[in-house]
Amino acid sequence: MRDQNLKTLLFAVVIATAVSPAAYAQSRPYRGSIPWSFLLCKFSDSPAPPHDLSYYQQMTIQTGTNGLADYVHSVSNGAADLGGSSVHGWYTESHTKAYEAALTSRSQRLQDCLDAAKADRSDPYVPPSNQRVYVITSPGVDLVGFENCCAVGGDDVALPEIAHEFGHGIDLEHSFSNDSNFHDACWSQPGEYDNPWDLMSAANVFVDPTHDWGGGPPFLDAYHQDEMGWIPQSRILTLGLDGILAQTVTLAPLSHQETSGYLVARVPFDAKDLFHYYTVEYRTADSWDSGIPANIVLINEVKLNTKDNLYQTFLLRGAGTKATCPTCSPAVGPSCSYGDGAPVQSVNANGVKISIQGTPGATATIDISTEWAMPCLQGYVWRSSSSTDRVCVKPASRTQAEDDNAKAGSRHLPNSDTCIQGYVWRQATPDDHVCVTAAIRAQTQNENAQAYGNANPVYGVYGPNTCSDPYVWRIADDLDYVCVTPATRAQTLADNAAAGSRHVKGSDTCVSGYVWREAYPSDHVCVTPATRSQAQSDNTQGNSRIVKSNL
Amino acid sequence: MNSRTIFSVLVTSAALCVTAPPPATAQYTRPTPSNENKNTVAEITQEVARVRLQKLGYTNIQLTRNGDYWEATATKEGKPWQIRLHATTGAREEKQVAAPGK
Repeated sequence: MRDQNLKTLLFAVVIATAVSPAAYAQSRPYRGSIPWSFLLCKFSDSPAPPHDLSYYQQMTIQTGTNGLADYVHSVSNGAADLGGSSVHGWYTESHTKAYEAALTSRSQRLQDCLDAAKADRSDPYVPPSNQRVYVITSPGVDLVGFENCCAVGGDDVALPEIAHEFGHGIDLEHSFSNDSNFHDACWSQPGEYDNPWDLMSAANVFVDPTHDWGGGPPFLDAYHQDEMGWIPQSRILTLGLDGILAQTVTLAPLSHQETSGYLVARVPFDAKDLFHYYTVEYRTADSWDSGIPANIVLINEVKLNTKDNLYQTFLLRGAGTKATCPTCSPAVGPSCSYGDGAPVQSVNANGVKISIQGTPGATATIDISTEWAMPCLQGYVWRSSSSTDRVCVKPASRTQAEDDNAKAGSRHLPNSDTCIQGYVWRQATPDDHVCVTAAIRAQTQNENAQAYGNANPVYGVYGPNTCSDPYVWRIADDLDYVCVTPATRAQTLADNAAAGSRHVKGSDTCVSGYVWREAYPSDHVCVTPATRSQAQSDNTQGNSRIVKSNL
Repeated sequence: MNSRTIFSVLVTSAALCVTAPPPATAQYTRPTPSNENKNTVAEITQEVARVRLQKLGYTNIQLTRNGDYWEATATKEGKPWQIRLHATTGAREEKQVAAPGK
């Protein structure tokens, strides 16, 4: 083991000293263009490739073709695109197919194509330093992606695999299931690739086989979309942030942002690890998800995979049918499964309860509860009008709630849920029918509205784009997860509020002294030039301000 | 690999690093292959292969694994078919076969 560690250290040091650091300008959260260079390379002894340049242009970078560009637009909820991307080739490498196939370094295959492109006399090409690179060889000799970097595939590569490697290129990791007996390949971890509803389990995914380009890939799961910053903040419910620990939630299908409802519910439960929680999402068998067997609610556990030291998604599904283990060295097992267990449709563990109401249709209705709650700021206490009420209030309000609870029996009409005259339901939580005065009810509603402000935000659950101290999300709009100082956020909100007064009437043009902020590509809020510069600067900070434990 | 070899390679690498000229212009650099054996796409499981064929209208699907392929016999519109599905690329070959007795 020690020798292995030394080898690993050596490898890392050699690579770090011999290779210049990648100079990618972009990192998550992703907004706007994510440019890629697609290079087509054949070998010195290759037959004519099966497709020309135009085929791959349409498959990858052109919009309106149901290819990669359209997929990225959809899965990012319109936040990202492939603007600035290009396709080049076919270039001819100096090596034979047999030589390339025999290489032990997979990245060398990528480099050999880059070298051929650079040396080509008719169309020499060197990808700009800020671009990811996808090499397609003819014939294919590999299918691999490198995180935040590049990928290699064959001339018969299908859209799901292209999209999967695109995912690795923007730093997405594989998805898993909780079926530790599932071994997709000898080199994969138990449960890895066992979420066929998520692109990052490709090729083991539910593909629409009638789609162009070799099939239509499924969506990214909610966590992976969240990781990229592609789910609007208002469409994510984090249970308990408002002090209410049980809710009935309407979920819109993940691939149907136009449908009202939350797109994902986070259900925290682990006070020791705020990045360890459940996600609940709803998927319908249409659009990019046409390949999934049927409409379904999926529950994932997001947790630290200690082997990779990364937080990853583990689809909760039943145990798979017992299978013969693949022949691997070292052996896997002793038990193996086909990975065909049905996704669980309810949870009762870790203080969390999740259940589905009825049969989901255009939306899904989910009952969720947790025992996890945010601690209060000094001077505040949980109201505790019931076991699901953890709204932070002044101690006097808690005493008031206790008093009202004690008198509840005398304030209802006999054998009824209706309050006697002069009293109304308190509704501290949605199902709270304790009868109180109208003034107390108004006070309770006001406390609910203030709940988050009275809780200690340090102990909140905010997901994969949690900012490191002292930064906070800018929130120039609902998709703005860029981490900035609290002062910049306050400025941003003030600029948004003043937006109407800074445009030339009836125009998108700013009045004199102001310029478009462009915190994101279509951000035309008018601000001072200094504020605009600040926004550009903050954008370049990328993930350096995201909590490191979650990268 | 022993520690002496490791030290030798480290020194050589460091020397190369010091003596190598800086790149003339900003250009693409070879990726850091920290994950050489990761991120090959997965193999399609029997369950996923079956759903793909169902989406194409096949019924009575019988799947067997043969090397890199899932091979299936199935029925579509009352007629028997044979299908080969590559377990990694998903490439598909479909062939209608004569019904028994014809």
